[in-house]
Amino acid sequence: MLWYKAWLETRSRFLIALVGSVALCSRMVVIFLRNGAPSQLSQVLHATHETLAAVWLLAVTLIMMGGLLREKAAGASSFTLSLPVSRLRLMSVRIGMGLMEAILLAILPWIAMLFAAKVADKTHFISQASIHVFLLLGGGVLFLAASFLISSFVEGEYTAPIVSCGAIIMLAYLLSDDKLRPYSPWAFMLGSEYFHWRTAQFVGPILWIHAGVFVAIAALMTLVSIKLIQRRDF
Amino acid sequence: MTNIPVIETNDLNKSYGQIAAVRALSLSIKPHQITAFLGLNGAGKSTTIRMLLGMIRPSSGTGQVLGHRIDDANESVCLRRKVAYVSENKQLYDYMTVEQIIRFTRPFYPDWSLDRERRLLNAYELPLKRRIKSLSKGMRTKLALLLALARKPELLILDEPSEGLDPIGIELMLESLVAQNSEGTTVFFSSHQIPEVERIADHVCLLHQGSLVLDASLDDMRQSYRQIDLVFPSLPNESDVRVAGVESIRASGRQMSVVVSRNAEMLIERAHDLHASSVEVSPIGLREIFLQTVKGS
Amino acid sequence: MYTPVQFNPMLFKLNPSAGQPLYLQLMQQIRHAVEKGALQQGDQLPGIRTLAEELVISPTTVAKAYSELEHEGLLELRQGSGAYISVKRRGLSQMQRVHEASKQVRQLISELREVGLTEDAIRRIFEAELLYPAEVLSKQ
Repeated sequence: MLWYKAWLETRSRFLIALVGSVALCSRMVVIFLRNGAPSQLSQVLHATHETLAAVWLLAVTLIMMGGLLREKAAGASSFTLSLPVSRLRLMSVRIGMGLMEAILLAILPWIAMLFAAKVADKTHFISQASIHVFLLLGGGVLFLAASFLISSFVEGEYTAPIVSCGAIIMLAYLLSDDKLRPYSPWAFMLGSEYFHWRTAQFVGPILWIHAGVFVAIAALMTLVSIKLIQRRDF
Repeated sequence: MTNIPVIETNDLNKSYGQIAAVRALSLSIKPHQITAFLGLNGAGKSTTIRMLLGMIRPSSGTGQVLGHRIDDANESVCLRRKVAYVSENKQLYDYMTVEQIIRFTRPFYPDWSLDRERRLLNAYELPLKRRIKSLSKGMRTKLALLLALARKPELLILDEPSEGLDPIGIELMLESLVAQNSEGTTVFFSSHQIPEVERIADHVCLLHQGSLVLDASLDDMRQSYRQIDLVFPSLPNESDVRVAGVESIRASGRQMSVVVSRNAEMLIERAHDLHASSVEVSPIGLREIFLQTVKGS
Repeated sequence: MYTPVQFNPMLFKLNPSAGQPLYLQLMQQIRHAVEKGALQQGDQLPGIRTLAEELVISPTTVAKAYSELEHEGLLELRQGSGAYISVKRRGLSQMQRVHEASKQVRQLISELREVGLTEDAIRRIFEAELLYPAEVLSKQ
């Protein structure tokens, strides 16, 4: 029933974010195509993806809002902690639900974009879509974990997502320096390293190792979050 | 009939920096009884209960509930499955409806009773489709109680159960506790409402500034605690009057008022030996005992 | 023609703040009801759980009271069906003794009042004197 609770807790935020990003991305594709610039569909999709990535980041801070600390601010943490479940399980469900929703928030807007572009032969663009989604999630997982970590030590009902937003913006800014760009998870998400700026064709080999590092750091942050909550007095 | 304590702590301590919230607490709560955990606000009752349920980590000392260690995360999960708990603040999930939170809570507990759930829903008149956010405080309290009382647990732990209830609600709640206890559930509740404690408790543990200052059955207290008012032609030294069992002495003019927890007869004999001109014995209620013990410490 | 009745437990009045354990108070009230004739041979008292819930007192208290009264011979606890009044021969003479004692105490109290003692003073003297025999008994 923990999944049931996690769904009830996050569904409004998730659905608003989903509808919002689907609508926004579809609209952007339609407008680009109507204006005729960029001219190539692949460029249009790539450009829209940049917006999607930004919206996705914001949505993620909203989705990762919650957990025992947030419940503590409202008072319900006593009830949750009296349930016969370990804190580890409580957090695993929250992470799981967040991950699922984040994945859907990456995939569904792309599907909407392809439909909005009224592409006859969608299969041609599936690989481009897949790569973009992979890049989004590969880099985004770091920010997801960061939001989770922040929600594990920042108290208050609405403080955590605000701090997460701020941290994400700061992180993205700090890593936008040219020298750091190859290591920036934000740049990874945008895929600027892999797509020729003019033709928006997929260029370089995917640096799996980068994705691996991001996932590893995310895993580490998650572990720290778990330890923080397990050790805390409520 | 086993008499293994359902709750047992050994020198339990909890400090926040310099402040000791719970000091060297050694509790032993007997099964199948109703035990009240009495104390002023801030005495450490909630902190103790939270330690028992694994929400707070003790600074030192050990404890077990229903045979499960309180400081082991896995055993704590087992323990919570057998214990029904109502917290002090009785807050629940604002975003759920009454129906949803019942549906959510039910599967966690094998001892859930659909029959009790139905009866309590009727008695408390809780609207199933209403969102918890829009429930009044009284309704929310009743819902929190329902989620614990719609079960047949081995142990019921309640932290200030009457807080937020009107007199009828309190009466219903006390009846439920009695009903639970008559089916074998051990009841352990913290309160600072003396009348409730006097009515249904078999045993009292009084916590003051983190320490256990009184641990006695209510019947023993009613039989042995006495207030003895003495008049002397000339007041003797308090040390002469202080026999075993004397808890407090108040003296002024020719009068001395003594509270004893036992051996009233010994004090009366001593008073006669010291040539008291008047000896009056009267029973003393829990409120007075509580205030005396708390002021005296 | 005798017909057993269901006793209404609301007629019991217990005082949790008095200096007397509730189970003793309950026992006294049941005995008193028998003396008055409100409860007679064969009448059924409510079960432990029912009485505890009606009076909103601890079931342990009711259980103790019933068990002590069973010892005294006033109650008969039948497995599964409940507690029945069973006024044995010994019990009757106990009632007679109580009746006699009431008369004596009534007499003594009116004498003490004539001397000028207040009700409170009289009550306190009884309390104090009662404690002596209690100590003597416990030493045995």
